Amino acid sequence: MNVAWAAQPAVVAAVASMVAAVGVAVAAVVGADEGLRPVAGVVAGAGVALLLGALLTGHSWLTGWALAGLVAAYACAVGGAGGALQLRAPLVGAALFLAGEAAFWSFDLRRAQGTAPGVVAVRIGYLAGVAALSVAGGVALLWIGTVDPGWGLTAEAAGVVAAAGVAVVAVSGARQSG
Amino acid sequence: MTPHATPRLLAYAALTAGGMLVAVVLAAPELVAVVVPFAVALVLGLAAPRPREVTASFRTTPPRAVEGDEVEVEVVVRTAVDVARLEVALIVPEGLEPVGPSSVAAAAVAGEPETITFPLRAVRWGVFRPERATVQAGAAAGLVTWKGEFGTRRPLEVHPGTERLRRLLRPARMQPFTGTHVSRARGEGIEFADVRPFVAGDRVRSVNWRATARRGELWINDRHPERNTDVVVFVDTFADVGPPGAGTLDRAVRAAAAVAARHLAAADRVGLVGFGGVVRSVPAGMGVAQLRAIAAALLSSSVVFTWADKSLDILPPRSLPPRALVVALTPLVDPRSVATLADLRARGFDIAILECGVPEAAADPADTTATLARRIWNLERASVRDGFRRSGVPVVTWAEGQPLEAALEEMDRLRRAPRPVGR
Repeated sequence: MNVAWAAQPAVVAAVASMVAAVGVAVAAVVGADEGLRPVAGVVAGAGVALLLGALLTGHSWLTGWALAGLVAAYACAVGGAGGALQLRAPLVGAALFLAGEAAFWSFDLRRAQGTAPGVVAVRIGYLAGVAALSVAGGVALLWIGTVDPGWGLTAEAAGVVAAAGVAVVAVSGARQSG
Repeated sequence: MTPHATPRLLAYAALTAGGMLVAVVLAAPELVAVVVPFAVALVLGLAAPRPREVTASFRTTPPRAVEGDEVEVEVVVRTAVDVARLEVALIVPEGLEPVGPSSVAAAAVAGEPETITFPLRAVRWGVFRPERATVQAGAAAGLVTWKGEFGTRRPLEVHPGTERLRRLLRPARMQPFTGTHVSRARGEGIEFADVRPFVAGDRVRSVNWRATARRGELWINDRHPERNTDVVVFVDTFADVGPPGAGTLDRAVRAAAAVAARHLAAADRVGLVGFGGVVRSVPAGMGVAQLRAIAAALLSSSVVFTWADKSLDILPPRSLPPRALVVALTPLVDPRSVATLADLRARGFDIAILECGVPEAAADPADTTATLARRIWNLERASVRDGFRRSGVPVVTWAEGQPLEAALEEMDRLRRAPRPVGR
């Protein structure tokens, strides 16, 4: 009886997650170069399979690996694109984020059997807000990426430092929270 | 409240950092655009206020219930900051079952009470502590969850669902106080007994005018007085045979509550003896307060394993009033309770044994050892029953699914039949 309470919304969230993940996988395979397409397909397929496994078994830690697989597949697509900028990347990012969030939401719904009124609307609003913000941010980043300031290695180093900085901020933030 | 990182935090941080590094290596800004949502979620999640201070209060209505009733546990959560993800999971004790969801996701505004109601059904009698819940609170991003367990020790009493009895067991001996049992003696009462010649001191209202007119001298109606009796409900708690919730002890407790309530309603003095690993007794008394005392003692009935040899000597003297009717509810499986009942009989108590029938286990016919053991065990119990019957103690087996009223009817029939009389 309690399972029936929770089953429907959890399944809807899982299906939404799978749809978004398949969309990202298709985008990765379609956008990949002819030579890299099989590799992108295999990696994307592995990501989708991992996500499916996570949703079926309820192991939420697998979701991260599934998302990583999809990002790797998309990396194959952009790496073999031959320098042409893929303008749909912000949309792919938003879809990937929605796939992850929907999967985590599905896990949450399995634990919490009931939902108070208004909670779903707040959560959908949060997802839409983050997705819209990140699409806008992604477009801005791509535009910045087309500008060549001529800094060469300095710009590369700045990118590496920024990536490391994000990791450090995330870990320290988590430690402070914990 | 203690914080816990969710799988999201690690996944999003790794994706963001890894995506940016690969973007730099491949010189592909698209990958940065792909991981931007995860970076945004990280920033929002880690910058959100932390719900360190959360309080939860509880209220259970009604505070007492009967088996099968529904009760509601209301959890009121207050937080010091706005919480977008609040998850309250009630820890439901065994014996109660949730009617709806036992964990609910909600949101809380700082300082405002967030009330969540959990309906529960009482499936078994007992004393439960339903006011315990785990609360998880976190920001919308859900990267870090603050968990805590809250609760009170306020008990919920679930009384056994008793069968409404119409019949009382007729006691062999009665007390001199007014009650509802028709005594065999003659005196002032309602039930007609006989007519007899007038003697000095008889009331005029007792004159039987028809008999007087026919015989030409005063004749008087004799009546049976209504008396009460002392009843001791003896519950054998040495063993509980059967599935949880439907074992012999559960049925004995339900029957004890029904018998006690019926006899108290009939103005009898009723006491209780719980005889087992832990011995409980309630001295005989009358009224609603006595019913509550018996119910409270019954609710704490449980099987406590012990090797100790128990006998009547450990009972407080007031728990077994002289001339009392002892209604024993027992599965007749533990030799100590069997010996105690035999001892009671030897001491001249009027005993009625209601044997809570042991449910037949589904035995594998191929397992000849188990089948033989079962047969020997059944023979031993039949021998115990016959022993009691030979000594004048009626034993009625109350089978599972049989109404208690029917078993008591059978008991009353056996008690009225000729049998050896005790001292």
